[in-house]
Amino acid sequence: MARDEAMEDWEQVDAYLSGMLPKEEITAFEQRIQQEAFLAEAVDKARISRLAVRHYGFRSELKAIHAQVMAAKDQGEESMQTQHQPVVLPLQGKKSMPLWKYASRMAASVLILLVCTLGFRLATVSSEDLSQGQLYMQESTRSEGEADQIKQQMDLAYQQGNYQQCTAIYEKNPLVATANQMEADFMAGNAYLAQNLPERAEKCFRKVLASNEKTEQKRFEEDAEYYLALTLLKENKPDEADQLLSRIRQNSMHPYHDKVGWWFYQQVRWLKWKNG
Amino acid sequence: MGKSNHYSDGELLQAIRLGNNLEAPIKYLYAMHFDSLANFIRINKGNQQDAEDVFQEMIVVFIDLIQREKFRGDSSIKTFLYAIVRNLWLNELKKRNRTLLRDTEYYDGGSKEEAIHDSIEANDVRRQIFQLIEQLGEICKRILVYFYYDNLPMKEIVARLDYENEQVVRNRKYKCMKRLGELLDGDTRMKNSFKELLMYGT
Repeated sequence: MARDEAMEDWEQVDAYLSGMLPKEEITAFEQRIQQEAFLAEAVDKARISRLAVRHYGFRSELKAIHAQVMAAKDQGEESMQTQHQPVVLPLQGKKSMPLWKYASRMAASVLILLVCTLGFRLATVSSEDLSQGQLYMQESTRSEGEADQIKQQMDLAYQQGNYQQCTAIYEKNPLVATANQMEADFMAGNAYLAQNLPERAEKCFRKVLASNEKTEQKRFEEDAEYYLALTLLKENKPDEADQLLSRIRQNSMHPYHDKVGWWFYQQVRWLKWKNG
Repeated sequence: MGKSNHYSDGELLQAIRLGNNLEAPIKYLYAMHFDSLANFIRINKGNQQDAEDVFQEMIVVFIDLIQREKFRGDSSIKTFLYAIVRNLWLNELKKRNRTLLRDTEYYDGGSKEEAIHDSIEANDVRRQIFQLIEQLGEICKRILVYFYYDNLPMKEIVARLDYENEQVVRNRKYKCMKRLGELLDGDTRMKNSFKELLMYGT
């Protein structure tokens, strides 16, 4: 009997929190909550429990969606059209300005040295220098679908440093309108860049950006922007490179933001000026 | 808007605010942002599993912030997601006692960053709650989720669980909630943290 009463009370609490308690009962029930500490505690506990369950439900749903998306990625299914993103490792970390110690006795000589170095550097800076040492690094792919075969061959060639083979596979097997197209374009761009074929690399990176624009996607967007900028520098087109680099520099959330450091950017601007 | 269609930023925020069908917006977030954000984790010393974990946590935080009106689309969603991921990943690296290659100062003290930071802290409590409910057993979990998350009508729950009648389900639900209450009572600290979360918003 006591248990029945407890359950009755609890059902009333549950109905109250669900907004299912009849209007005429609400005021009386709220008065009881104020008067009976036990009931107030029960309402409190039920509210917490319900919220906990709601959160559990949400996380469970998220886990299920995650598993579904990852399975689709593994199988190369078209529904999500997602791909494994290769790793881009910074080979040449950009450092911020050194902290100069202005020791009074050394100030003048340091300043002179700095001006000389700066002058020399700016006088000799070239597009080639600025785009050097930024080779894209490819991690082995986990994709195994049949549509990935060509891309896997490209992956392998790229990982082995055989950039010529990588681009040869790319040229022989156009992956137009496949889920792998964008990744293949991006990888080929980097392989061309490694072979010092910036014109071809530029085409590839622009294809990635154009595909994104067309499909309103953002896949490889930031990667392509950054590597396109490097390619343009290699082609001695600092004006065009600057458009991309300034955007990256202004956006602190851009993954390549830190690679476009102050000094690097100043050199690009100087190059622009030099080229007139 | 179809499930696999594109959302504008405004449409996505609206869909999440409504909150009655989060599957489509979540899938959209995966399609649009997983690759680049996962890449961000990987270039900062994370692996594929880290990237997947952080992305899931990011979704929890993102939805929380939208539903509490802490993000109203004043910057692009993409930028905001990056900010969440960066904060989550820094937190994780701190826990692992590793140093980050870059991004050592990205709590700029702005209100948006504070909101992200708060929500990430709250996430630890939410994760504990998830683990706690895992202890309830399969039937309890299903009953409670059907009731309080899926908001299914009693008749459908009876049918799904193959019970004889509604009363059996009601009794079971009562027992499950009682058990959950006991589990919460057993961890006062977590209960209080979760209670604070309630006041702060879910």
